[in-house]
Amino acid sequence: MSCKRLFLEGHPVVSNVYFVVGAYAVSWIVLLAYLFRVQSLLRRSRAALAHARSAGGAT
Amino acid sequence: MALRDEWHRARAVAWKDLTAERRSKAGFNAVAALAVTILVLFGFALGPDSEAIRAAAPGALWLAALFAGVLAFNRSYQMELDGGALEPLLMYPGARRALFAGKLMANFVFVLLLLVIVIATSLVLFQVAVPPTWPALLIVVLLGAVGLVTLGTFYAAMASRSRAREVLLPLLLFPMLVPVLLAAIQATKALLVGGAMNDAGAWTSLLVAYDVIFLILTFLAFDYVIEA
Amino acid sequence: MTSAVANSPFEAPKSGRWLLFGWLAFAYLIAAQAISIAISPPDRDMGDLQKILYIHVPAAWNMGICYFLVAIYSMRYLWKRDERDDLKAAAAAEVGTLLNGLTLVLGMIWGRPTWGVWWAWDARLTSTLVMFLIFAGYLALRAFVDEPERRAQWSAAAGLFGAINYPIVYMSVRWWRTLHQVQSTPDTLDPSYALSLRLNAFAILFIAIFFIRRRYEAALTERVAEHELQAAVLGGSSRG
Repeated sequence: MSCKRLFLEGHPVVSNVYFVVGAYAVSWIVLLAYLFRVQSLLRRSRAALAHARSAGGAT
Repeated sequence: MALRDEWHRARAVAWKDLTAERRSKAGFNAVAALAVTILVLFGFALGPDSEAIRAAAPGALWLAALFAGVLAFNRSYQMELDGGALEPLLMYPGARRALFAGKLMANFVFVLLLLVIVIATSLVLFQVAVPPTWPALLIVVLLGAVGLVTLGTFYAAMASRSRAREVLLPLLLFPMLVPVLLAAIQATKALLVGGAMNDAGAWTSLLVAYDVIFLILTFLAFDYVIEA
Repeated sequence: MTSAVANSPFEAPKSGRWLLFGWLAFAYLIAAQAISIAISPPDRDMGDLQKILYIHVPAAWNMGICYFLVAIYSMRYLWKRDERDDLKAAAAAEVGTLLNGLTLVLGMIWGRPTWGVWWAWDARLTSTLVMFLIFAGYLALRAFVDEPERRAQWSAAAGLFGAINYPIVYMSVRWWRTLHQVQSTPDTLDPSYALSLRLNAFAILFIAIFFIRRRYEAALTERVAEHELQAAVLGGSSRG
């Protein structure tokens, strides 16, 4: 069954734009949030590596 | 020859688990009581309307068996872990597959007994009549139990040795069991409440396929899982 | 110092050109979205809503690719026992779960004005939700097991089983109920949609590759740091 036949009659078309804008906003927030998470994980693990190497050098 | 040895070992493991379970009757009785309690709660949730309750009976009974059965899966490894018996058991040559098969059989018997109690209770509580096609229902129950127990025993081997095992096992297991539950519930519904008979046939073949696939996969993968 | 480095079974990964790749991937995503929004006329029935599909459908496709990678790397880990394959599988699983969640949310945002409901128990939606739960369980398993070899073996099994289960889950839910519109492949759509869909599919693919690579780099660097710290402590105590 096509979704098109289920389209609500008389639904104001302009409100669709909010759904589109909302969808793009959600996707960008999700992608950027994950980007920052991964970058901070990377930074933390590199700091841990530098720490381990300096500990190795100290002994 | 070798296969026969493994069969003997598996049977020994299953017998040991079931004997331990029988000696400490508390275990099974408590789990069975829990299953019946869950059924009663489902009755409250689904309302006093006897038609609605009857229609929901197949779902309620499989979920009650699942929720209660999960406790058994973790317990089956817990006994060994508490007694420090898992390591020595694994030292025996070729013991791993036999260990899994044994646990599988013990859990199967456990869940099957649970299902018998749950079905008997729901026949009474949910006012469902025993259908004339009860042998078919028996086959569905057996196949569904195999499906629950296969992945249940497998994932319990991991979850019981991790942190937060109480939440981890259901979290891993329940989504993986969606096909078994759907198939078992729908087939039971077709047989108990009525509906197209060929529906029950299609769902039963899905159960068979699922059981075969995951029996093979778990036996192949268990070596890796238990050794770590 | 050199002995400590030698004690780690693998080297810390270098970012190299991957950072540039990431910048290009995001720039390409912006371009692809701009082009597809510009060239696609509003749908006769859906209006502007079909523009949501330019992220929803590519996210769903790439989620499938990520889960496929999880299965491949998990199998490869069990075969070759290289810890790096486990870390790659984990990175792919995390990005796959992310795209899976995005697919679900975008599907709901699309479904609300189209179907009039946020959620419908149709086969595609429901099996996507079940996959999300399966891989949420996979990530929880990794979080709750600390010992690296144990974690690798267990999650390899869980990841492989989860990926294998997908067709079975899909079949079972489809028999159970179905309502979804015909699957969106470029063939069933207008040429301008098809082009936009392809452009965006590659954009999300590049982003997913970049994410998997960065996540893998972070995990591998952490493991190397753990190895070297261990080596440094052991070396220090044996010498001292």
